[in-house]
Amino acid sequence: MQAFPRTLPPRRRLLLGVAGVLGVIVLWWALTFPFFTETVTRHERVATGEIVTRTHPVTGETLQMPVFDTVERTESRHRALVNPPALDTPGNTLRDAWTLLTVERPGRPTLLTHMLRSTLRILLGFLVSASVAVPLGIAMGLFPTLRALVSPIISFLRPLPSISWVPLAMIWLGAGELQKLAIVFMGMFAAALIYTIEATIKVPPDLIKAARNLGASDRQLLWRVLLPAALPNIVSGLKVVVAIGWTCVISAEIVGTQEGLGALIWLSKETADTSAVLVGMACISGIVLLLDLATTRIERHLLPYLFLRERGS
Amino acid sequence: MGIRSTLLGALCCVVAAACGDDAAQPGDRAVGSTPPGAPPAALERVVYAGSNWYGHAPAWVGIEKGMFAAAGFDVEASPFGSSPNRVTALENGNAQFASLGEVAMLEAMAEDRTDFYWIGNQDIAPGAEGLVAIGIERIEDLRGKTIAVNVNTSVHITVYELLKGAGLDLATDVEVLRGNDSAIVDLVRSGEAQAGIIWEPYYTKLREIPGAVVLGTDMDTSIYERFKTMTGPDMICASKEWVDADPARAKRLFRAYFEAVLWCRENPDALIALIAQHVNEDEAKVRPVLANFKWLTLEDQAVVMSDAMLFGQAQVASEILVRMGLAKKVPDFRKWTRPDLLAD
Repeated sequence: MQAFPRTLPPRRRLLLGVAGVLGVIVLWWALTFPFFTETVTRHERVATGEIVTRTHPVTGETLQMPVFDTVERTESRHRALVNPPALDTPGNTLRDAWTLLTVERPGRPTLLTHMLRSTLRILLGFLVSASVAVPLGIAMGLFPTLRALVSPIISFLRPLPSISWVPLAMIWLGAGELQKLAIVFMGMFAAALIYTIEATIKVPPDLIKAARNLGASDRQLLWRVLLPAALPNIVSGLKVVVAIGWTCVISAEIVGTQEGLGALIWLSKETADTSAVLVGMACISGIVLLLDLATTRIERHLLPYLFLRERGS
Repeated sequence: MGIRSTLLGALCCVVAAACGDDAAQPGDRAVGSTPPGAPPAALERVVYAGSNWYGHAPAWVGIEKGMFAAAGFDVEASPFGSSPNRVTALENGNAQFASLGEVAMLEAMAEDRTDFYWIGNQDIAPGAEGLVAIGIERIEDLRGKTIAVNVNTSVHITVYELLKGAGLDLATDVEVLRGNDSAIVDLVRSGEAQAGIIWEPYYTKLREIPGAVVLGTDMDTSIYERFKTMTGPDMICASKEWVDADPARAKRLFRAYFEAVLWCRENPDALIALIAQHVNEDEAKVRPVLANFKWLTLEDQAVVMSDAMLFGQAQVASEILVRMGLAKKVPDFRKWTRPDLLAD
């Protein structure tokens, strides 16, 4: 048996994954199960029987008001280690998720609408940012002069969190879809650009030299050597960028929309509806997983040789 | 050696003095600010959760005019963002009392969150929030239009009521665009929303947009007509743990607080100057907003906290919140009250 095995058999990997998820659910259940009983003091409002004459502070009319006092009572209640609104039980959260998914109320989008709206915003933002960042990144990777010119601007933009773009985007573009697209674009663009530059720079110089020696033209070098060699790393980078897009869309949906997982999470936070916040977060993870599977399929289609190599190794 | 020890000692004193204030916790005994002429006394540190809204003025008055200090408290007024954050601050002990919007309070009660008390209501300011449209003269004409709303707050109930009064349903007849404070003004100004509803001072900014028409205020709702109060007035709430630990101490604090409310009522001009200084605003801008305020004193609370006013209003507001899907149930809000704290 290897001391540090690099891989596990698929069946074992699956079982361990399921065990990990079940472990988290059991821990959640244990934290929220009302194991304890505590005595609490309740104060009940009781009329003393006395009546006083008071003036209504707005209308000025004279009213006969009963006088109230407080009677202290103790009662026992069941408590968990963590109680709502901090965290609800897995069962209640699942029930809330079902309600969000199935119950349609006027003016209250269903969970599916929230998911679709956010996903569309991400995909649109991704398409726009990738279509600008990839060609620019390749050009910057190929031409050091362009790289030197643009890099300081990228260094300035890169550390800015997407939420910092919200105020400016609102002033410049309002709070509509364009503002949301802009925030998602700004969040994804710098990352996509950096991944593309790195992928292009890291193309082995031997490949370029060999192509040149074989008499490849500039065009052939770009399309037949550089791009195929850089593409695997560009695609890997873009997969990360899609996940980054979710942090951007949650920031973008703070204002100006009722639809989207960000809107659901922000609004549920205001009403202390922790279950809905958790459901929104779980949906994000689920969609990222699905998008990841979809991009892997696209990757297999675009770069079949990578997977052949993987199978062969 | 002697000089070095003296310097080291002095340095330690400076560091200790610098750290001492930060280390003080609510409930600690500390020497706080006292009114002019009064002997310095050991005051109990208490945190008040508020914001820059004028409804917090009694807390500022209580601090500056010495009502709290005279009652034995060193009150620190801390900004705690939105009302839901202030409810949480009371629950987790970060603040001992707060003024917050009724909607956040009712929603917390609907979630059975019992770690705070509803003490009373210090003011009503009807007419300080309104629905403003650009180029639209009647509420009926808002059908199919977009309205910018600070959802889950008093204006959400106000717009619901105003539309209902005109035969429109907020959920189906108009599009709601979510925003807060200045974002509402931006959404209307940019044309993304044809109407917006918000409170002061943003309400004034909304009315200043060219072509703005005021379609209604919270005074045009059935809630105001029935209970003579707003759709979501400011509420005074307190941490249950802090109150239960020493109800007599809490009673002393709220008597001092309502003394400050009485001062607000009796000194309107001085209050305008105090607020203007506190929020860094021109007195001329504060004056018209404050003209709508009615300060509700300790004596008023018997009527305020009854079916004739806030209990009746809270019942209706809760029912609306349930219909809008913002609360899961109508809470038995009387269970959160403590009339003994306001009794003679």
